[in-house]
Amino acid sequence: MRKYQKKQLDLLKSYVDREQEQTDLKISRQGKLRLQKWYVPLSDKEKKKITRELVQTVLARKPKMCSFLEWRDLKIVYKRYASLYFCCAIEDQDNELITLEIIHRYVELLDKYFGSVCELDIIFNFEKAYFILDEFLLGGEVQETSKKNVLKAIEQADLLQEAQVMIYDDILEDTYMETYESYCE
Amino acid sequence: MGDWTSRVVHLLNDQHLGVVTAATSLITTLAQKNPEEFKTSVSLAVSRLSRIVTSASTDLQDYTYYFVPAPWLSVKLLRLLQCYPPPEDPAVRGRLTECLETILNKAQEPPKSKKVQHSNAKNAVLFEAISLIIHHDSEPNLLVRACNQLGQFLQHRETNLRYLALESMCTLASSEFSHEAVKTHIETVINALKTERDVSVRQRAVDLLYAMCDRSNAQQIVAEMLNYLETADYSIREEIVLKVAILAEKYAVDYTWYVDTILNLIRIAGDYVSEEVWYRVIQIVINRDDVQGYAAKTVFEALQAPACHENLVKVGGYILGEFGNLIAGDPRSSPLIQFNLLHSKFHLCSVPTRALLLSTYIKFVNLFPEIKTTIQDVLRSDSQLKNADVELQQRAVEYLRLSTIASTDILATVLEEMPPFPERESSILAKLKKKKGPGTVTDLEEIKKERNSDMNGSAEPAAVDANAVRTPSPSEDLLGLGAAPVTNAAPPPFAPGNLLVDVFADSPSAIAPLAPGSDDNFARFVCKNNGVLFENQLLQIGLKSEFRQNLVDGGAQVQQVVNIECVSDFMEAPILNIQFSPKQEVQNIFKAKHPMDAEITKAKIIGFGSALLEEVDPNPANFVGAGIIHTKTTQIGCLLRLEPNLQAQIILYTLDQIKHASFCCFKLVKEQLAKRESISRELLSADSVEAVVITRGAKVIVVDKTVGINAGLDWGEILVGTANEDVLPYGVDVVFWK
Repeated sequence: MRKYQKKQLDLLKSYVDREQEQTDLKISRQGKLRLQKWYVPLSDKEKKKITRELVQTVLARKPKMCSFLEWRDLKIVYKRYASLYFCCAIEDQDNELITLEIIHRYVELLDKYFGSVCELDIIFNFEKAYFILDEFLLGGEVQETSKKNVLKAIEQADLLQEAQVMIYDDILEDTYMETYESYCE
Repeated sequence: MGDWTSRVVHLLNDQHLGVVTAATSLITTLAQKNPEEFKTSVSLAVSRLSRIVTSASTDLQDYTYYFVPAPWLSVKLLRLLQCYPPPEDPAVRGRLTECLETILNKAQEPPKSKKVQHSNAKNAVLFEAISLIIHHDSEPNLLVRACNQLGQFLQHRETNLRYLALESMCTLASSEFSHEAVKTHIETVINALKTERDVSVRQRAVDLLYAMCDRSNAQQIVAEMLNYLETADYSIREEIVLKVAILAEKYAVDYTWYVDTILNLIRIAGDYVSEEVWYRVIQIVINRDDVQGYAAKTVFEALQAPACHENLVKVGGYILGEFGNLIAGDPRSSPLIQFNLLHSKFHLCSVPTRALLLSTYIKFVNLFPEIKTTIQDVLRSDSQLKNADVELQQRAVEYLRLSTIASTDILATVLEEMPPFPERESSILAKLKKKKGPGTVTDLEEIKKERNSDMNGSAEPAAVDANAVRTPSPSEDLLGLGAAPVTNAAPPPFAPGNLLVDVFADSPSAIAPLAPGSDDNFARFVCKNNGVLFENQLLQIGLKSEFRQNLVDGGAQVQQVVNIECVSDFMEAPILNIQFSPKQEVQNIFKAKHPMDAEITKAKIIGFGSALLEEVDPNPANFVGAGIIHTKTTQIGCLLRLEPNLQAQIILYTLDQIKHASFCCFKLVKEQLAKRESISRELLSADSVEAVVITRGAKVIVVDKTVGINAGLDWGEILVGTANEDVLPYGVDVVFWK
């Protein structure tokens, strides 16, 4: 039901918008892409190409190197958390340090939501990861920086989702009963 | 949009910071498209920002991030403010300055938390504030403080901060207020260049060095960049090569240093030296006489290395082809040795280089007739004449034929020395811009260029362009040489050139031939670079002078090279075509008579150049010479006239500001060397001439004591001055003393 449902291995790319971010990637250490979000429209082929290049570049970096690098005409800000690399591609005039903090804030949100998040959580609940990202960033810009507010919004969305499931169940039951009854007649 | 504008802007005052954050993003985008409409947001943004920045950490509750109040919102507000120039309203401006100062102060305070997030957030706001300060570029105090703060970060433990500091300093370096402050950190930056392990940080250091380069530290910076180049990452080498080339050219006080730097570049990173770079060095060497001998010598020595890069062979081949004669006097660099040296590299080179070398060989045939047969043998060999590459084959065949059938005159004309290139913007800059894309350091380059452009002493060229006064002569064949263009090409930059034109009320344009007094014509000649010098029914002497730009160091003696081409139409006397170049074969001399007094007056007013003219027509014994001396400060003209018959005086008229001794330098053709003596005797017959010096390059230098004395120079100094390297690169041949 969600348009974000995709195959496990081919997760969405975050490509943050021209305003601020261009791309948000979460890459595992083996180079597998876990999450992606794009904020500029690009063809699939281009996305794949960019992913490949970025993954190669970021994984080639040594531990002590600085978190920023230049790539094409964009800046890449990346940070490693345990087994995942989080990369953001931003425009030339954007503030790199604040982007680092965006990444950190996002990780904090995931952490709070999943309770001590690990890679498996993201793999199995990727749609929640995307929801949280969407609450936090909109069109490439930070829209809400208060952790409480974001998590509150997510909670409400969760509640809504469960309620809907219950309603669907009821409807299903009703439909079933009707069909059964019509058979009986 | 009008209705919505005020409502949207008003959102900045909202209580809920989330709303303000979102609104700021919106306003920033809209303001970029429509700055006028959203001007009102500036004051609101400033007040909001100052409230945030000065708030205690408990005020904002959930919007405080690791003890930093609303960092994202602060950054956004600062970004919004960067869309506008500094606010005009003094209250708002004052508040903003205060706010920025608070941010800068906070950076100095001890951190409230050990966590990296705290420092990142705090510094993020700080860097954005610095960006704003740089953008406004109006408060020197803030700029200097920002610079100092960045200087501290340059040595911070964290790589990220060092990286960002280097990057921000790059933009600071272009601002005039902080340029000096940035320069103080040069040692730290050079250190970073050498010791940083992260290649991206090193790259930023290079960019910063490039941005902060100016006259005072150019040599040091270029040396450091060359050092770095040896170990640099391959992907960035080309960019560094271009930058070094640009810096070397821009800040070269002494062009020998420039030549050295470029040759070093080729040696270190030959593969990455693009064509523009070595084209440029050739252009510069050709345009500047003073460095030609040095370039020939250096290139010759560099070529002797066992393994030299192909680009070096190209440069070397070209320069030796043009100026090899300047070092041919030295037995270590005799023509044959030069040729063998080049030819030893021949088979190692690619096709374009070989083509260039073949051209060099034919130029050698012209320069050094003694090795003509050797070269012809090479050209005649099957590997050239039957070469698989069409271009090489064609060149070999044609050059061989040319060397066989052309007389020396024609050969000399065809292979005349390359005229100076017109001054144009360095293509290297264009290439660098293309590489880096717009909005980069190179744009700062432009700004600096404008500021520095006068430092090189190049005033606007007086566009004294070809007013071709030449009347075509019927005796065209005699002027086969005349056809060879004496180019009045490069309008050379010389300030008094304007003076040249202004002083005379006469129109500086083409002269209508005047029968009467040659003075008028002479006068006109004075006011133009070219024109009719003398004319009567039999004869018309037209003159074109070519000037070259000379950047001269104080005290150096400059030589004036004057090419003159006389077109004349007459029946009896031989036509003199004076071409001043070492290779020229023919020199005829006109004797022209010019009334002296008129000259004195005129010459006193202005400087001009001319040449040795001897014209058969009116007065066989006289000859006139003149020259323009280009010196560092002004163009000084002097008229030298010799009238041996009249117990002549060599009159050196020197004008207004004589700061240096002037002398005229004439190059005589080798064929006419026999005439040297007689001419020298004649020259010496003048009272004030002390000596005539003939150099190995077949130049004649007349040394006039009066001028020297006028200039406050001692006699010995004059001779010593003339004997300095620039003028007499390879030794004095003969000196005729009185």
